[in-house]
Amino acid sequence: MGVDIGSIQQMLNQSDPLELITGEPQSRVTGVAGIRAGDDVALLCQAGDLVVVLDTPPAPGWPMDAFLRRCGDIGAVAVAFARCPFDLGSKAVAARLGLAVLLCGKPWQLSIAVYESLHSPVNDKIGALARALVEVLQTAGTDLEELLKQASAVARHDFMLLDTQGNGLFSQTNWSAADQAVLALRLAKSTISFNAVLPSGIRLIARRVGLTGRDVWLGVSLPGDDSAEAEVLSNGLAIVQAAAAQRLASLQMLHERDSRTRTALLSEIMESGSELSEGLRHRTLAAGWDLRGWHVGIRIIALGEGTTISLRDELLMAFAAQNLKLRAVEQTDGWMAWLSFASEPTRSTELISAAIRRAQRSFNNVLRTAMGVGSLLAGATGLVKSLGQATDAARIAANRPTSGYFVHIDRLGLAQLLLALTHTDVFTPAAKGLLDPLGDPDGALIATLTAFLDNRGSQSETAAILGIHRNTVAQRLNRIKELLAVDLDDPETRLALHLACRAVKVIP
Amino acid sequence: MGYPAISSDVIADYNVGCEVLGSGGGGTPTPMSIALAELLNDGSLPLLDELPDDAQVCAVGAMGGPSVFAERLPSGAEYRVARDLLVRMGMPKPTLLLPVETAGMNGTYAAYIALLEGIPLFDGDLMGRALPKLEQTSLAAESSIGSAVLVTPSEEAIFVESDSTETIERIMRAALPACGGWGLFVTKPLSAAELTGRVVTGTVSRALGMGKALRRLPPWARGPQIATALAGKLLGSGTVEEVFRYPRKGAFAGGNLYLGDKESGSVIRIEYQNEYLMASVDGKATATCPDLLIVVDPRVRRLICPEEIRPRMEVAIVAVEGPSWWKSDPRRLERVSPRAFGIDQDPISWEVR
Repeated sequence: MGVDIGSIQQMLNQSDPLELITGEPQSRVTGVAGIRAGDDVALLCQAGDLVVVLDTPPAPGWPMDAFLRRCGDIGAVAVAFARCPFDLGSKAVAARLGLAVLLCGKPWQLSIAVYESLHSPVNDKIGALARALVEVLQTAGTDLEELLKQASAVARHDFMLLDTQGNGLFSQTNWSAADQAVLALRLAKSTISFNAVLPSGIRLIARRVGLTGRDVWLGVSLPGDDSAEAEVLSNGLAIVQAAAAQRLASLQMLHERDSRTRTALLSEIMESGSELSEGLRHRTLAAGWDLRGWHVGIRIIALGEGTTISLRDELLMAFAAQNLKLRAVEQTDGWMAWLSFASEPTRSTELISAAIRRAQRSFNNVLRTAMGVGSLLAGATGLVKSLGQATDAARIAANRPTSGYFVHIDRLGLAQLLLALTHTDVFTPAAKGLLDPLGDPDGALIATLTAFLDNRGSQSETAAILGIHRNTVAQRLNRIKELLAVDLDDPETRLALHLACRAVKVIP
Repeated sequence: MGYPAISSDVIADYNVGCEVLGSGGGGTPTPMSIALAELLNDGSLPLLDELPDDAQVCAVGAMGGPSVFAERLPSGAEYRVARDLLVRMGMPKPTLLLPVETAGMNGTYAAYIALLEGIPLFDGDLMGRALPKLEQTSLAAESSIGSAVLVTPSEEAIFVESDSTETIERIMRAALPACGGWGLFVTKPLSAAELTGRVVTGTVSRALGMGKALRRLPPWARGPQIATALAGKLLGSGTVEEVFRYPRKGAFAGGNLYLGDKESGSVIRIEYQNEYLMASVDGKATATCPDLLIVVDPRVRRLICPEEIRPRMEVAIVAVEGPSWWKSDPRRLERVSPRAFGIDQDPISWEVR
């Protein structure tokens, strides 16, 4: 409760610098009484008060001493006067009575400012929340997620970490499409803090968590119309932000150290070829890598901006959401990664591939990537080989938007073969003739058809790759069927169209 | 009481007693003490503690600046000029003298005059302590002092008569600069009946008693013993931190000083105006006029007056009960309480502090 003298000084620093003659800036006043020098202090003031003499201060010497004594007797904490000669004797008396003495230019304004600050409910709440948060943050551990959980409990609002698109890093957010669009637009342009009412009427207050190389925002959402609550939370946010930044920074330091270890270890494995030395095997185990089982190598190449170290957690989380435990080792342009299985997996390669595909799509929100996937192979030798395949596949994937920048090595051979067959003088004009009825100036229909066929007739995958709605895909396919007068359920028709699509596109 | 006369062996006590009753003001009694001692030799000055029915009493005292008085000492002829003037005006010849104040220079000067004239001194005065104004005499409390003579050191005389003591004082003070800074003030002779209830009795004995008590203290005695000797209260002892002197207003030099009590740490501030008038401890008024305040160097038991006081001096502050004559009636008290000196503070009664 109350406000300390230091804060009062700060509060009025611009308009009316206060001179603290004697007393501690930490002294807290819990009330304010504006009086005239002749008034009865005992009647008008109470313990804990800042007594402000609004008119002429008592004369120096004994009148001042006597006034201070009256204030001291009722338990006032501080006394303020318009600037006046204040002699050493009175200073000694004030010190002896434990009274802080302030001299100011405008006693009226001082008393009003202090009154307002004491009686503003917002201020009370700000103070209460700040104290509660500081208490939580002092005892909270290093775990950022846990820290946010505890802070949220205290603030009774959820603090969340967001990326620049407004997506939650630890938890799902459910912005409306319009909100998300606004967030994506505004967060990217904001520098330090963000406070806006989104189209849905929700207010988001956010502060950038100071971290280089990665844009992370600490935010809290609340009903848009409550500006007082917003002020309270905004202050709380600043406190949590500092703690979050500190934890993120130390986390990043750990990550960087781990990252260097992993990179070095993997290159040793790659170089060692078939046989791992005893020592190397121990170190791989220590790193949590069991190389004895079955492995699928995945090479991930970053297409967008972003540092691989800071995004590793999000990558692992994207795979974990698909029930895949990914091992990832940072490379300059992305990651060398793999999935390990203790025994030959019961899930088919197709299913694993589809899961990897889904993981890639969800990770696209954080960073756009191209992924190449190797074969399922056994042992350390198998891992090295699968990683090699994955690297080759990734290079192709990076140039293949139609396949969603995703290439699985097991399907690469067939594709290459088909491509080889289509690049002939006979077939190319025929293919063009086949697709001509589409009359497709912007290539949207051919792109849709290609993606649809590339993805084994899955409309939802097609929609994801092209970034359009699934209904749009269905509608386009209907138009294609009408224009070409073909039955897409007929395998032979599909094969012919698939080849034709490959032939007319300028392929990798 | 037990002082039938002042003899040379009590002059030193009397001198100190006059300083105590001066409460810092009244000027130094010492020059006239020396003169008194020389004149006394082996003799004595009779002290009367009762007014004979046929007595004709004049109150005498110097008016003006104490420092001028010390520089330009009386010739001894001043009183006679006044007496002759009064007698020439048809008034009775004085048979008894009364100090205006038994404090500071006036305590010893009145005794000197009485001894010089060969008439007894009355054991009492018109103030009971040092006070600055004629209005603050017991004679003026309920009616005017009537008429009085002012005699300059060069033996010129001014007779003033008025039914307002304030007017008499204003005229005399206006004349003082032309008189050379001070003059001897002599009231017209007053009969015992006229003086009934208008005299503070026992003041000379009190001065003698307090001086004796103070002078008999052992060398190791400090503040607490000094207070006990004077039946007073020690307000504190310490080093004077600061002395503030106010711009001079007329005849009165005002100011204040403060010190921190060595033992309790409390801040003692003393307000003065010729005399030390009020002491407050930590902002709380603790001793006020007409009670006496003495500032004393406790090691040599020398009393320090406001003109002398300087920062860094080691002093003890002792409050001594003032004359009860002023306290017996609220209207009397009003004349000598802090508000009479422009200090907006109720008098603090001696018992409650």
